[in-house]
Amino acid sequence: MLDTLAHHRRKLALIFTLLWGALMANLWLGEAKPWHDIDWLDVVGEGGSAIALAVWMLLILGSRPLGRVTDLLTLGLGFMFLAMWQDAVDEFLYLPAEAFWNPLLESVAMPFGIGLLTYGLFHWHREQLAINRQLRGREQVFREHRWLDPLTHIGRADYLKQQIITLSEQQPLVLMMLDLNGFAPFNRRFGHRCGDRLLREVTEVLLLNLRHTDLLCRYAGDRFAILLPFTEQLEARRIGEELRQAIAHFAFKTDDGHSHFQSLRIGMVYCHHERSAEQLITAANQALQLDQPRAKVA
Amino acid sequence: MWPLAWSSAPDQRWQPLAPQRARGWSEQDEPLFAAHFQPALLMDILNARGISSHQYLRGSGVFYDDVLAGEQRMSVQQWLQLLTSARALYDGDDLSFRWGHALWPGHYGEFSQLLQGCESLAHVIQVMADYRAVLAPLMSPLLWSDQRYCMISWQDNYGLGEQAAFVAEAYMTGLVGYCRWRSDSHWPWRIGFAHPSPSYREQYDVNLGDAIFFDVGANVLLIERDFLHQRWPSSLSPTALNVAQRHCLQQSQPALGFVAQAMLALRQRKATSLEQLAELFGLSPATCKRKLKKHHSSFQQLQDRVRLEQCQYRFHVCGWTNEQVAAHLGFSDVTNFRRAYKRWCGMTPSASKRRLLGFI
Repeated sequence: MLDTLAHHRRKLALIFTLLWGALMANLWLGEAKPWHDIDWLDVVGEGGSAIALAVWMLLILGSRPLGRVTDLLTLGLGFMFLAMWQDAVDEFLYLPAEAFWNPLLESVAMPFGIGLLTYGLFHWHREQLAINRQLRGREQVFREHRWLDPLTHIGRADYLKQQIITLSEQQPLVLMMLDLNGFAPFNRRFGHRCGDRLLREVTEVLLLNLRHTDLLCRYAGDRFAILLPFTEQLEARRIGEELRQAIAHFAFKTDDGHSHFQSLRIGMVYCHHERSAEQLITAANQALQLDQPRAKVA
Repeated sequence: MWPLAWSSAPDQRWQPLAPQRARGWSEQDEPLFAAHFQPALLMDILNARGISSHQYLRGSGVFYDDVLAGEQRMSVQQWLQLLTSARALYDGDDLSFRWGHALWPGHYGEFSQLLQGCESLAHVIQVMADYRAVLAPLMSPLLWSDQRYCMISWQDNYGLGEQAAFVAEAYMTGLVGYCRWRSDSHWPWRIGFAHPSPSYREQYDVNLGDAIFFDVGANVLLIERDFLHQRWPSSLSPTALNVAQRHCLQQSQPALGFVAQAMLALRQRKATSLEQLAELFGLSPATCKRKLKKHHSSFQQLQDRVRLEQCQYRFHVCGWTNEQVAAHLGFSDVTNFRRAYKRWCGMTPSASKRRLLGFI
């Protein structure tokens, strides 16, 4: 998170300069209130809101890439934070009437911040729609980041099990298992970094060859699972064959620039209502074992 | 019966170990193992994921620069600490399996070369047993075989505690993967784990095959004996193999782990009580108990483990009946034996046979 925050140091500097300036001006001009005049309920309410706003701002900065939407969200929350902060600080002080910036900070910074935040959220919504289009094939309707595989950013085995149940209405539903041949020797030869990259790129190739309605998951290791809703046997076979071809023609470049070709083993089963997700997965894995690599034709 | 070797003659005699390797023991906190060997392979996987060495080595007293220099030695305790923080930092369930696939032949100089020159599974296990300090320090494979079947049980050398399941996953994946690589075919392994079925069952399906059983009380691999001596295409010149063998023999090895040494004594029936074990080791019973505790073990636990190992060998490899095994172990009747067996591994002998053997 700290690495990401470093990219935003300008915005953070701006907000903290304003904050610091306001605090200094308050202390310079203001006069401390006696203890019994302080309304503690206000202090806790306004101060707490200010701190919450600051935390939201940092969370957004820490989790988002650079860009216009991030700037808008940050500045919006930043200004709201300033207004709240000023509100909390002036509970402790009597400010003279000529401190014109006090109402300015309180009443202008807040609506200004809210305006920026709203505009930012609108663009965030459009950005998310664009990302959703890009993510199609990786996730269906439902999102739960704990079920995403950190390496390939597609669903894990838990997500697959859950989706088999969710999609079971979309009959005929086919579950397809794909396994890369010779992944362990590949890792041994080219290293884990290269192996990880191979998995990520194979994921992309598979996604490019799937329909919008299909769901790709990483089962474990070098094994992938695909759920194909509304798909008859013949069509599933055709898609399987297309994937096999796509992977066979995918020229993965190892770190020394040489092309390395992969091959797939495929197993598929129909998802009937009467079988549980675990049983279906076991059956698909068994079907996969039957698809042994064919002997090379000379 | 002797471990770390196997019967080649039909009368099931076990080859004795070379005497200098059977004396003394080593403990969890002695810095014995080269950090740039097996621990470094785990570090490589973490580095590839962008996890900083400061994070996974924090508090272990080991620095990555020293590992790179090739001089750093690690104790089992430091190693266990590395495993704990690696598991916490690595996002995903496949760390042990990936590490396992990388373990053998590995990058351990002559030792890896020797392993690569092995021409059969039997040869691999012999080499691992001979040079366990480099090739299989945390757990060592013990081979038990009969005319038809063989069993490889993995002995915890130092008392790995909570990390035992992780290490068992890695080492068993490593051996299965190595055989698959050298023979270029899937072997019909039947695999039993001591721990209960984890939430990431799918990793086992993909890395180890579909005949996997949990909660069987020990970590064992079962296969027909034919595979033991099946010849693999050798990838090393005979001269290079000879040289590697000679170099390996010249290197001194640390003594067996404390737990391994204690189990050896129990297996040979040199000790049947804590007092006898302490006397054998030249310790007071209290010190012996303390040392066992330090290695996450107790006398009773080790004795149960040794007995279970013998039962599994007699049942699953030799095909003995309950009565024969009960008599062999000195139980007065089968009911008592059945009760004791259930205490060792949580199920009755017949359930164990059904579970692990199926067709055998």
